[in-house]
Amino acid sequence: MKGLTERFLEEVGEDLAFFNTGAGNTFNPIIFLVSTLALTVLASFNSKTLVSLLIILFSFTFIIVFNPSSFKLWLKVILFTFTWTLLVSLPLIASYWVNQFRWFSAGEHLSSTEIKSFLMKPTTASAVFTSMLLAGGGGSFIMGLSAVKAPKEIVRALSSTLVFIPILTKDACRMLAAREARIIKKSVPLSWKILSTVVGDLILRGFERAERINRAVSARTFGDNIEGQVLNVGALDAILLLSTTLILTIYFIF
Amino acid sequence: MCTMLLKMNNVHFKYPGEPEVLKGVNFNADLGEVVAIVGPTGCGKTTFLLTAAGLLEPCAGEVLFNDKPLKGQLPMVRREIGLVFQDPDDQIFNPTVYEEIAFAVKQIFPKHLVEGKVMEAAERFGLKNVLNRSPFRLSVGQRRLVTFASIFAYNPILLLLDEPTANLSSKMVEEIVNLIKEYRVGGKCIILTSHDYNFVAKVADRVYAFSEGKLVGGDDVIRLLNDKAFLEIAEMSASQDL
Repeated sequence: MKGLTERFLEEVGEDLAFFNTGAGNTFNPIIFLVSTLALTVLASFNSKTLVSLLIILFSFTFIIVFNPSSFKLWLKVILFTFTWTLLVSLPLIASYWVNQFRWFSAGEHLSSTEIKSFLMKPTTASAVFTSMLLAGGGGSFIMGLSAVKAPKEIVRALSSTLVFIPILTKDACRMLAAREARIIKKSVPLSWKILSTVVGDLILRGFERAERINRAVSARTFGDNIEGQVLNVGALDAILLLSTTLILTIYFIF
Repeated sequence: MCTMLLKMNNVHFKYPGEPEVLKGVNFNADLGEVVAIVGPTGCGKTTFLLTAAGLLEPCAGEVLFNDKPLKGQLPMVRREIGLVFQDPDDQIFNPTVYEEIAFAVKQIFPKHLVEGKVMEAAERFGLKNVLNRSPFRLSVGQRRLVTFASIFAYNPILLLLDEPTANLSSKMVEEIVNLIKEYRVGGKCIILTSHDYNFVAKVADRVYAFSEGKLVGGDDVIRLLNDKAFLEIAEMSASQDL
């Protein structure tokens, strides 16, 4: 039976592989990139509950319309982000309640609005970013960066990250399994000692793989003569742009 | 009429902190021929191919492509050189099979021709049904075919194949043999490394063996594969009479 670590790593790998391909919807890369970044940044800095709810509603609608089969994955990411944020913010919540009941002074504390905002921001940002990537695919995001002439090195690094993180997690699972298969003595310190060697191995393997992939890329790179793309704008792009503009307008007006 | 395509003169190479791998390699290959490099594991066959492709720079000596230094012609000359790595996972870096095959093609051909070239290569290697899939989710054999397709799609004149038959079924090995013969008939040059005696006997015109960092042989494949001393250097065993 697979351990928790292995199952977690496998799920992360599978989910990231989904991000890479998306649902195959073809958005104009520039509009897709601008909308994704605008909404994610807005969600990350916005303190207004109405706007946060609007963004979550937009994300929900977006994923249902463009990639309904990935709804569970989208929900999983949001729940994970919310749970993690909640765990991290427990001291803040605790200090708020202690001060509320004036048991003793817990020093400075955030107000309930600020705590709510602290919880909403990462959740909303991950909701909108995840839904956009699942609908349009990491490829659209990368193409958008290329289209706006982002540095080639950054584009290539991001593209490789999306492709190779699932590979890395699979490698980690195989290495964990190989080590566990040879742990005979039931000893927690021994198990942890052996399993911790996976980390160093992964770093070295990652470095060596990066060198080999670099050679593979160089072997098929012939110069800077890549033809520019012709970028079409369709109905999907218009809807996306309109929705983004509407949410931004509501934020600035209210 | 033969033209000297690739030439190596007294090439030395060592990886940082490691002993010298290529210790004065002399080699040549012409258009219209298939040259095999054989030798024991770890003797430097892959290093040799990487140097021939211009991916590793020799510490000494020179590599000439079309009688001109290879280094000075990079990177544009790479459209004439196709390298198929021994391990497909070292070569594949795109998210889908389509993009993997199209990567080099997009840099050479106009946009309206790219899809046609990709589909042609995909059909040749039986990959039409997996074009939208991640190459990392395919079997080892299919990944190997993706690497071939990604090189054949842009039709380079010099093909470098590192252990092309590793992890392939005998049916696929026959396909590769036919492909290499087709390529040679088209006037191209193929340099390949292999441990497979039968495969080398079937496809190669000339064969070299690695011996202490240098290449020996370079003559007719039939003559050398019948030479016990040569087979001993290459650590190969004859499985048939040629």
